Amino acid sequence: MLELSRRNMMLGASAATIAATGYSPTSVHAATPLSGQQAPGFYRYKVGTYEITVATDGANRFPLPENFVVNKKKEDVSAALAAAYVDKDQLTVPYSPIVVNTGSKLVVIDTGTSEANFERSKGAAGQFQRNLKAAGIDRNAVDTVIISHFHGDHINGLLRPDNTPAFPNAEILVPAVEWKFFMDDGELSRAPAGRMKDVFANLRRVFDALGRKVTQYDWDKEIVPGITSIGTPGHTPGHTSYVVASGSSKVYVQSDVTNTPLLFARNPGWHVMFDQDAKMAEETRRKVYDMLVAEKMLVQGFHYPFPSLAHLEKTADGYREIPVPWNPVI
Amino acid sequence: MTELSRRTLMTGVAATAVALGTSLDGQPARAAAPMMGKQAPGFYRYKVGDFEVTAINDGTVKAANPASIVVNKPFPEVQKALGDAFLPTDEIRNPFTMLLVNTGKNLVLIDTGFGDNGAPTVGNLLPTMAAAGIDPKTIDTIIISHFHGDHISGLRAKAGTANFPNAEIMVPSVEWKFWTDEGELARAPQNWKGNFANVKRVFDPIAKDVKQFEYGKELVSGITSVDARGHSPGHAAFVVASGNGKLLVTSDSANHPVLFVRTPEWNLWADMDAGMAVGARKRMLDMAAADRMPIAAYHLPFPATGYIAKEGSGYNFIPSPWQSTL
Repeated sequence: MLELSRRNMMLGASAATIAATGYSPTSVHAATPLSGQQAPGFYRYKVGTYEITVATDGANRFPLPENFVVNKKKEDVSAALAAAYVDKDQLTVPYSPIVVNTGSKLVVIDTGTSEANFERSKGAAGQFQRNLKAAGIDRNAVDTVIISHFHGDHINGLLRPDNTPAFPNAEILVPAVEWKFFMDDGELSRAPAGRMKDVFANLRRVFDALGRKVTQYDWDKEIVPGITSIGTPGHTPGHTSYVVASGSSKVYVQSDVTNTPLLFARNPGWHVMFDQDAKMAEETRRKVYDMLVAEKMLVQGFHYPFPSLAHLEKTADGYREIPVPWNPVI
Repeated sequence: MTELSRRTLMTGVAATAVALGTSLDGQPARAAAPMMGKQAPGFYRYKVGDFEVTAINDGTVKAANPASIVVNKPFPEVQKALGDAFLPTDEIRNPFTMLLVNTGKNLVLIDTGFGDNGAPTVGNLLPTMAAAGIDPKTIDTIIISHFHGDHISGLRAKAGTANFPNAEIMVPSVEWKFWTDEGELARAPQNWKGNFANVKRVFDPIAKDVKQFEYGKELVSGITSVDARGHSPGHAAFVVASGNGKLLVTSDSANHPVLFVRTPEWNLWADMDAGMAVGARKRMLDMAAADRMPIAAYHLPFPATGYIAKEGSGYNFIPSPWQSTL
């Protein structure tokens, strides 16, 4: 086979081989068992003098629901997944919290689905603490936990399986707007039954276990030296993003401005089923992404594929994320 | 903060800690957390059918002279391509990622990195294998795509010892013939003479045991060689196949994804027959795109696997999303 014939090569190679080469694949060595284990899911990079560690919580993989994108037909969503070279019938939504070491403070932003979820999900998610440990980060050394919004995949990791604090020495910072909305009993009573009631019940479970000991922060404030809160409401009323800046470097921590970028960066007009105010979320998304493109700014996305770090380019229909190449040194 | 004021509490604790030398819970007073300063180990696993593939990064090297990487284009055009991809325009960094394939029967390493024969920024293969729990002695087969130093040097340590003592070593026969031919050495341009010497260093002690292979052959069960000559005289690609899973290992058919995948007609300085290399590159990329076959390529950013989409007059590399479980 001198010319490469694709079809022939695929079909014919196997049969042709042993006869032609003489070295049949016999093994005198004992077979090595398959590992079955993924590498630890953490990745480091510098922003100025700060050291950021992305430590993934894993991912939730589930059959594409009928209404995952509430304003698009399932077929369109399937087609978009296929166009992104992933399974058209399955969604994989990864979760990747980060740790920022500013030199004086060790700060966690969002906390994943909780260690309790590790068992429940058979190891698919709830990996955050394991990956922190693999990264050599001691949960007891964390000074501050910043919460972007009150959905379970961001706050459940505040608690250990026995409901004690997962970061026992950390001050917990929450968006004031988010706290006001979700801790308001009137809002709770008006919340539609089903998912919204569940969101309320879950966040009250978590914060009640913590004795509601949190510090509220406002938008456009430097809430920890070098970390500024930016209001990006819509996904939830108090949804918050951050600019982490040191020296002349910065990264935009977008939280859930988009869910998976394969669908919602590519199609910013699509509304994920988790956006509480879809119209406002879309306005926020377009505003943030136009800014990221204009500023050529690095974005860290909670639901981006690990290590969840990318730039964005403008396309005809929206935006495309260009992952930052893995750097073996930091 | 109407609830318990943590600031106040901490101030109180700190004061007490200073007085007692420890904090209230018996721990020493907390200092700022040290910077870790080290990247995660560069390995990543994925399945191809029943096979388990481990991609292992050997490091990266910054090109000494980035302006000479693409030989048939002015550097500003190259810089524009880099800038459009949000990469630095004043440097080109070349990563090296090799594959370990566990077929269930064989443990096969495809290419070997630099070992301790390269720059300080490479040579991570063995330490990373240790981090991944892989013993180099358990590797029973090494398949070499071609004889450039970044692919073969790691077979043998600088001190002369074999890094993979129990492995049968398989090489493309055309490649073997070229690099072991004294006539070719005599005719070679000066900048390739060193590579001949390195081939001698690596292979001379084991010359009689090296297995040469032809193209289109199954080398071990599930791994087939593919003719991809051009980058070097005997350059080989591979198809790894198990069950419904297939992976096209393009080796160096397309080097830097932003440069030579986007514009396959661009010539890499190391493409020894530029015309043939462009031909092989287009065949590989076209095959991957037409069959939506995942690829792994040595010089893609770690973990160096994904898909090829036809885009405009060239192609685009779409990295596969990281999977947190196998």
